[in-house]
Amino acid sequence: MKLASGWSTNSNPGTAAEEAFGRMSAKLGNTPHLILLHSSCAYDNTIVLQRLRSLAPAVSLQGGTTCLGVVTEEGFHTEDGFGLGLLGVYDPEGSYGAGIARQGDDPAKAAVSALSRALERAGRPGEMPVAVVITSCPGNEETTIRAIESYLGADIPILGGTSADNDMTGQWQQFADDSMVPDGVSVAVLFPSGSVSHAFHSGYEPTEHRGRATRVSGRVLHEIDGRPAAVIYNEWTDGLIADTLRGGGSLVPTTSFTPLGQPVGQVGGVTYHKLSYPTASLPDKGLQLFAEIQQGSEVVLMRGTTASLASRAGRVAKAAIHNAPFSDSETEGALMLFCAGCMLVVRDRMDQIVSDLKGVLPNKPFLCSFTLGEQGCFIGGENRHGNLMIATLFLGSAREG
Amino acid sequence: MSTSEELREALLDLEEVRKKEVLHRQMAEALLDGLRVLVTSKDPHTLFMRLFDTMKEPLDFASAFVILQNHDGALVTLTTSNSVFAHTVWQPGAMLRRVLAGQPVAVFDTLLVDEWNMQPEEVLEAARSALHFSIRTTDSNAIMVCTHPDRAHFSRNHVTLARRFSVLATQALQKLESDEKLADLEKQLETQASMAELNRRLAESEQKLSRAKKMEAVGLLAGGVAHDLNNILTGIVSYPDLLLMDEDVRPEYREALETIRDAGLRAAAVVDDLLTVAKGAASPREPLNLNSIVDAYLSSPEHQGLLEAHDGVTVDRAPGGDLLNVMGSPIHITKSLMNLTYNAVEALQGKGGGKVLVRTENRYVDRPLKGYTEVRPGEYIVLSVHDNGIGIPPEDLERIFEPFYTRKKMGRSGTGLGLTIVWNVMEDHGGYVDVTTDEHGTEFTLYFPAIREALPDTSSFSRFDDYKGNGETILVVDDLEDQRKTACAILKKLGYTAHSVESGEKALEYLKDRPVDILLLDMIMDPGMNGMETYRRISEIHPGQKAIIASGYSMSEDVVAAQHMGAGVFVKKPYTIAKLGQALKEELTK
Repeated sequence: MKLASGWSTNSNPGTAAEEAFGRMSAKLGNTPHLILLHSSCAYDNTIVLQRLRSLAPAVSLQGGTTCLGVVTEEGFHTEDGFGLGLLGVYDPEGSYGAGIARQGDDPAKAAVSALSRALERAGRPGEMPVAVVITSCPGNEETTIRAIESYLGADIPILGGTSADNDMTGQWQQFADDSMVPDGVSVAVLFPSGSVSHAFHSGYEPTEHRGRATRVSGRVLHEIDGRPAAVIYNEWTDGLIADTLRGGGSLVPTTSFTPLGQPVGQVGGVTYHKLSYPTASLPDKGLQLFAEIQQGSEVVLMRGTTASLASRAGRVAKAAIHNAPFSDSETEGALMLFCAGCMLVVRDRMDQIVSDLKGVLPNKPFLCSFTLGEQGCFIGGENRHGNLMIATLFLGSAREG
Repeated sequence: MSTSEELREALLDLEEVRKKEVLHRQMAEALLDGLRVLVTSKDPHTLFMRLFDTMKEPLDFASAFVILQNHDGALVTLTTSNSVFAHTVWQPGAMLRRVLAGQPVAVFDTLLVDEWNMQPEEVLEAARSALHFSIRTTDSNAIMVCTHPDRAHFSRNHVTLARRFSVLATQALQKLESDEKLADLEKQLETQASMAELNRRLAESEQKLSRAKKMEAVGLLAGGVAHDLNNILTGIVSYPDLLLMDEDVRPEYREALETIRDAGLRAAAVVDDLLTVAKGAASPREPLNLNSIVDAYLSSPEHQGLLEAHDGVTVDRAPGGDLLNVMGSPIHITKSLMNLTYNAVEALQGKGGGKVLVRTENRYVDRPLKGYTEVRPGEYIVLSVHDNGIGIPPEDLERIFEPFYTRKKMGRSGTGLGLTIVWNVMEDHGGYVDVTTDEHGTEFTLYFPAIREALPDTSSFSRFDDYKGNGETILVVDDLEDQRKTACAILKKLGYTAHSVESGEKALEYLKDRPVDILLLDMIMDPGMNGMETYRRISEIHPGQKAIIASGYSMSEDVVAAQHMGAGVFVKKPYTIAKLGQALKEELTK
């Protein structure tokens, strides 16, 4: 097993695809068995896919759009909104497949359809993969996770990111093989010859502000403890969104350091949370979230800092290595899904992030995409969708056991 | 990073470690239980049934079965916890090939897998989920399949446990195989050791057989030669006797006649040597005491001559007290003693002198005695001849009893039959020979079975008059004319009325009208009936006909058969007047 990354910020989609593929191939030395593609929506990704397919016709490909660009071990790659990255996996003894489906009005069915297609492409129908990587459009990540768990069992780690655009205008896209959709889910199944490790963390701490989600519909949190959610949130944040309380308004990136958290588990007496990013204040004083909060559950105000968000990537990578069934030397590379909102607030500290990751993964390839939601597997084994989080998947050459 | 965040991360790490530790401990316990089953079960069915019981909880399956790969590649059920899977047959596709290659595979939906889709409906109903892992031995591939009726039942931890168990089980089974192979190897080695022992015995037997064949050949040769020689020697021995009975023989001729007779007797003794090595040879046996034999031999002119020829050599004797008797042939035992003594003296010749000790003693052997041959338990009289010579080289020791195997110069010390005679004499006497030798000397030990019978009274027939006849009629039956003439001459001299015929048929014809008191019947006659058949036919017309048997051969089955029919003593040619007279007198006075 060997991994290699490639990147380009060339604004020409075909050229960018060729440059990235060339860089990746030069390091990989072989035709990969899987390509993970994350490309900014500034490209005509139809052309990107076509060119990549022409370069590697039979190779399974999966991915989606990223906010502005990507990070690899060679740096942060973005230029005028253009940037794309590849992570190639060469693993002749493993099996990999990708599938994609538009969600339509049945995102669960779409998830299973994409998953089934991926298993078929891997040549492993009916078999339990080692890990599943997903990229979906915003809105139905929880449904997607539940559908996959329902199909495969709840025990398979699911990692992914919600495809992002550069300006939250809905230009996100999902890729699989030679297909691209704006409103679907793409899935990759991994049966590596080695093994995987994963981590799913946030860079936030719970505060003393907490209440109960008393009225929820979908991703709209209407009330906390029986009062309008935006009002409560504004009180907890000392008037951070006061300007929006009268008629509503976007909260991006205003709330990036103060998301809401929902306790999802407890480890050693310490509660861990999945985060929901308040993206808008609604006219009815409800909050539009980027991830669901269950009605009746506890809601906690979380707090982060630029420093904690900047150092978060490296520490998540460390956690993944710490949990890995393979040694540092057996680590072959990693895929990371980094919250685009966080990236935007720590953008001027990207060099530090790259440096931290290279410190954790010396001389190892990695690809980091910036997403509008992250899906990962918590320490307790729960697959969840969250915001303002970092999900990472490491591949190692040693087999677990 | 704040302190509380560090604390939270540390706690998370700690919890992760704790969870892993718990999981690993559970897995280790399950693996140990499984391995315990593997190494304590003897047959495959018991092994896997116990394994199912042991692994059911940690692997959380509803049913399990083991499929074994045939020589044609198909997999068939070997053992199952559920009869639904009892007769499954699997053609390995991509999934099972991966399992056989050592990769555990969890199937979340068997309906989607080709190999499973070929199974009957009831099998699929019982197994919507399946976990497969290989259990390989050196010689065969097997797969353990855990199933559950629920879809997507098995987890990553089950796969991890299965992978670990697969590796350990394979190692355990291969170790068991190695142990079994080691045991087989040990058995083979034991078998080989047994085979080696059998081969050794076979070689011994072959050696004995070879020796026996040589003896037989010598015996046949000796027997044939002896018959003719003895017939010739009869004249040489008997006619001087007849002439010496004439009182008018001049003294200077008398000495010459005695020399001729003694030479004939020695020649007859040499022929007799040959006959002792003949198969089936037998000589008249009598109770005797080995001390007497030793005394007689050591006092004999032959022995004195031997000592005179070997300066510096002394021969001592150590007679055993209260020595039991043996049943034997004095002349053959004496010959054996003579040969051994002669060899011992000769062995000392190169040293310019030395000592020979002849010992006798009673010896009781209470368990098999490993020697040159194995001496069985029993009471023995032992006659040993020891010299303090240079010993016998190992390469010679094995073959010293073979006929004509000698390192001595032929013609000087015998015919090359000296030790062969010893060996045959001991065989004929039901005894054993042992030889011990080293650079300090050699000892031959003869084991004779002891008897408690007393020695016979030898005072009878001591004078010529005691065995003279009184005109009794005797018919001599012999195919050789000179034998008939000699016999008739002796018989007339002894006072008998002798007639002779040249065959058994002639004897029958003669006796038809003319009964006789006794027959002197030659055993070997050619052509026509032999002595035994002749006696049988004569007995039909003259039941109880008395007869003595004469032959140049030793006792044979025909002689014994004739004796069973009523014939009397056996007289070996060449016979002296005394021997023949004694035999006739003994038979006629019965």
